[in-house]
Amino acid sequence: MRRLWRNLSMALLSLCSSLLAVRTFAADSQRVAPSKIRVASKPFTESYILSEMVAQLIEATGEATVERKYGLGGPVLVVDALKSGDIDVDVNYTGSLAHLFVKENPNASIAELRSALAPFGITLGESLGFNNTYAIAVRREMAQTLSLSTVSDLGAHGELRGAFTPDFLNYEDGFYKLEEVYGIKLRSVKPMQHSLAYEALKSREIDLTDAYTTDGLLPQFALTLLKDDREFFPKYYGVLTIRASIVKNFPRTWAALRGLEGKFSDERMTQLNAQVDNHRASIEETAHAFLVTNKLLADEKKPGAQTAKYKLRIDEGLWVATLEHLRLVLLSLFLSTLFGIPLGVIAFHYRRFGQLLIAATGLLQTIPSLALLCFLIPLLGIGALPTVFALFIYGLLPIVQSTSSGLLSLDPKLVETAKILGLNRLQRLWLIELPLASINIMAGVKTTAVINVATATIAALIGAGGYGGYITSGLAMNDVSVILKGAIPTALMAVGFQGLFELLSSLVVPRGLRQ
Amino acid sequence: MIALDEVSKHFRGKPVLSSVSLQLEAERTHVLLGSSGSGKTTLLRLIAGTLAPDAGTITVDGVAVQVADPCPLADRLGYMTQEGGLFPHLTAGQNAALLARVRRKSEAEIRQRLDELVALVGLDASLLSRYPGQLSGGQRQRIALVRALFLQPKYVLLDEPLGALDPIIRRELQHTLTTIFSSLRTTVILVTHDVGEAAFFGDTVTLLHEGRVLQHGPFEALVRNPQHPYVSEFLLAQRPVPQLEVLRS
Repeated sequence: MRRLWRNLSMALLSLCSSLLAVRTFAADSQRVAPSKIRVASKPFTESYILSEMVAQLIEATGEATVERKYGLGGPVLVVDALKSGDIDVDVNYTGSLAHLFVKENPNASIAELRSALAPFGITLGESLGFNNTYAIAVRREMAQTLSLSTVSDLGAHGELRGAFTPDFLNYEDGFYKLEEVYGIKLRSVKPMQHSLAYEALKSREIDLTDAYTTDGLLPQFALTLLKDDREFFPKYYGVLTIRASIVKNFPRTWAALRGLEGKFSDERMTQLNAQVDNHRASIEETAHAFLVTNKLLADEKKPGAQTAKYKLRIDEGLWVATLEHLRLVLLSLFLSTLFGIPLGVIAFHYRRFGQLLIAATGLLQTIPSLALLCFLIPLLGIGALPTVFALFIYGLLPIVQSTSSGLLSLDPKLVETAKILGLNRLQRLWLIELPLASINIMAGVKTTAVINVATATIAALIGAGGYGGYITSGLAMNDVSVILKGAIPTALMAVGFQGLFELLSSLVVPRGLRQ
Repeated sequence: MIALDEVSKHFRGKPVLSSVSLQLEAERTHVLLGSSGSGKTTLLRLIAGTLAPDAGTITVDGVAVQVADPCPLADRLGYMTQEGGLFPHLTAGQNAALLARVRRKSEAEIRQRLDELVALVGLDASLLSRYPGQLSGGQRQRIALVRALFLQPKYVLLDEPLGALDPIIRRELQHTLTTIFSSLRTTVILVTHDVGEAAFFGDTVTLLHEGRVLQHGPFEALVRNPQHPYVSEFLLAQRPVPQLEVLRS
């Protein structure tokens, strides 16, 4: 997951940064000392747990309240949101930050990263202790039989079969570089998704795969990590990433947060992840228990009492998610229709311009949603606004196209008749042409509605809620039941919209056209 | 009076009308006769001012027609096409009163005019709430006629108004039309390819062929004194059915 984001970041970073410069400046000059601290997380278990610890510590200190912005779509997005001042604090990884800010040195020290981030109004704490980097995972019993403990030990075992995530295979510092550095030769190398690779390891179809060092699923699958004895992989130490203004305005809070530094070993972090991944405890409970055990939080503050009112997105009621999702879809649909129909009319009347317009809206539709959101953060921040805007953009094409093709398919004799009868352009459009084209137009609006229901799941990547929260969390935690909790209502809502529009068509489309 | 002076029109370099000159007197019924592609519908659109001539001038009551969108003569001009040109999404009544509503006539006035005209064309007023799709071909043409006459136009343009009807309905409607036109004293320009219809309606008949006027005058004159071989050819092309003479006698 993380590697995927990192690859994406390569392409997007430069574009985002240039846009950001403008808004960062504006954001900081407008800012009054907030009494609310916005805590972000990325959409994977470890990030949820660490951010929840941060949130609980802030609440316990009492200098400020917390707004949880969990499940944002990856380090690039989170760092952008930190830069633009849309969020205040998150836990990031030194390797990711180095990749974004100190390109020449993937193992840049925290001090180096701190000075690289200072110009953006962001500062760092010290390492939290664990190093969640890449590793090679093998079955524990196989490691024992073949006495494997380091990656170098693989050199003597050419009979082993490997399967790696596509990212790890394609990434320039990925598997092939590892092969070269360690002089390993495997019998076979296949691309395979993470969760599948674990299952394949278990059923002995493959012998090794890539993993993260603090992956909560390692104990469950009885996997052992081989020691990276040649220090091939960069370090990914967890580190608090916070806006400097928060450090200045809430000194006691910052001191409390720094209590987390150095408290995590790789094993401890893995255990915490495993606890949540195996559903032994909720994220809040896991975070709270850890804070209490480490005397960062007094025991009497039960997580239920303190944090009940801000439940995590994944535990949040389906009803809330439904309302959020509906709001995103309806708002964007309204905008797409409001602009799409007039644009369709223009496209019809000025054919040359119309072709350009349809090509342009078509092009907009091909922008990957994450990239579009990345463009929008510097301009619109995070949350519902950029999501609605993105959906609005995606929804334009079907409506513009259906409107103009609906008008194009009108009987030219009827249009001529309206002209001779003395209706001017606007009267013709309003009284004759649009009603006659209404069947086509409604079909376009319906298409947009259904597409929007599905696309609105991207909202979770940018902190706007909706069903996507379940899907990203479920994907992140490799939990199908959580994914379905988002996917099924999404599908149902799409079907619902389909039905709603059949109904709506019978109201909007004039009766004379419906026989 | 409608006068055309040396009017020419091309579409994509192809001549559709070539140097057409015509004088169409007021309060008469003028038939534009010709096969399809002869330019008769184009002539109608030029008179209505929805199309500009490439050369020549057109005057209506001595005033040159200025091409404009919408039709500059709309309030003085009724228009009816083959199959009526009714808008399928509006009821018969809404179709008929469309322009009156756009011109913000009062509903009482509209109601009164509708009743008047429906009676005139011989329709039941209950049909006004139906959609064109729910009407027969003859009923549709009668509603189209109501719409064309709604604002008491000085001119009525009819583009193949009976073309899509079966013979019985066609004959009925022919009578309705002549009765109405003679009682209202409107100037009518009717486009058709049907020689019988031309003979029946036309105070004057203009035979068009490949964009040129071959002959203009009373139908009798075309029959007795054809000025071009094509004139008699066209008039005779619709062959009589000799066997039917038995039925008539």
